[in-house]
Amino acid sequence: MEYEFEVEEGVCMEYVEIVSELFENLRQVKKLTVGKWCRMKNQAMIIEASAANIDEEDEDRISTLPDSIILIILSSLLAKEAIITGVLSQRWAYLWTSVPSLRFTDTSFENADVLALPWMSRCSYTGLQNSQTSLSYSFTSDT
Amino acid sequence: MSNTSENPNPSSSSAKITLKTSDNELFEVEEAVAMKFCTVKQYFEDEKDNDVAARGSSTVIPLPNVHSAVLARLISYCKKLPQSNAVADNHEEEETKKKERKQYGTPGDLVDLISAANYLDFKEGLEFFNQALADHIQNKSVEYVRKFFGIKGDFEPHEEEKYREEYAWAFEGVDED
Repeated sequence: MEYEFEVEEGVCMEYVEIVSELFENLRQVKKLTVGKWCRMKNQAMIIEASAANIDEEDEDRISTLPDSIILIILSSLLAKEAIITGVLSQRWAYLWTSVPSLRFTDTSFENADVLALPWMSRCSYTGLQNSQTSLSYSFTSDT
Repeated sequence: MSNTSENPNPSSSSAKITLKTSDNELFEVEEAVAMKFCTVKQYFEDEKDNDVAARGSSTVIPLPNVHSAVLARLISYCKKLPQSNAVADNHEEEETKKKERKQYGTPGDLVDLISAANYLDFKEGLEFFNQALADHIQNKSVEYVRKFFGIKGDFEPHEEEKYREEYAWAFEGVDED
């Protein structure tokens, strides 16, 4: 009995040692993998952040401005310059038709009446008062 | 009423107002500068009405929509503002102004400055930075404007073609860059 017990104890101790060693190894592996995983995750986050930064650099910020501000900017332009912005993107497509003032130069004058009519009807449709809107033509003397 | 001790000599430039930005930075600004921002002015006057004892210097005015980097630039622009608001009437003066506007860098910066000036109701600043943006549209090609501002053209090719044909005269004779 004693002998058997001793053997069993020895086996048992050996077993415990093996198991605890195994656990220790597992802990090490876990530590390593978790560490590695964290590092990878951090790296991924850094890459993601820098990608977002690059995106931000390229990001179309001007189109996020409210219409009211874009219209102020557009009304400082000549009519032809404002019209060109209509092709930039869908966001800009009809913005220029809402500007409170359109300025034509002599070179664009021949097109002015064609353009001014729909623009004026739009102004009256949107209820803009005459005092807020202006249509101007400028000429040079030698034409 | 204007001669009471509460209304100090306007030439005393010592009066300061503290502004707090979205990132919790504190800016101590001269009253004359801060009053250019109508939003601040309104807040300041309301505060004064509410609490006569608080003589401005102790109040902190929060600006939750303005980042410190943007406010710093607006303040430095504000300090450079010319006393007279005369419009540049000669060509040379306009060119100098244009150069000055060019210093305000990237389109993203300009958009930030415009949004902040709009929020602060800072009229001169809004005008100036709007014009700085307009400089990059004036007499420029569609391609330049798209590239400069990072606008993605999302029209179908045939839609864009149709628009260009409809207003062909407007697309003639622009700078390619």
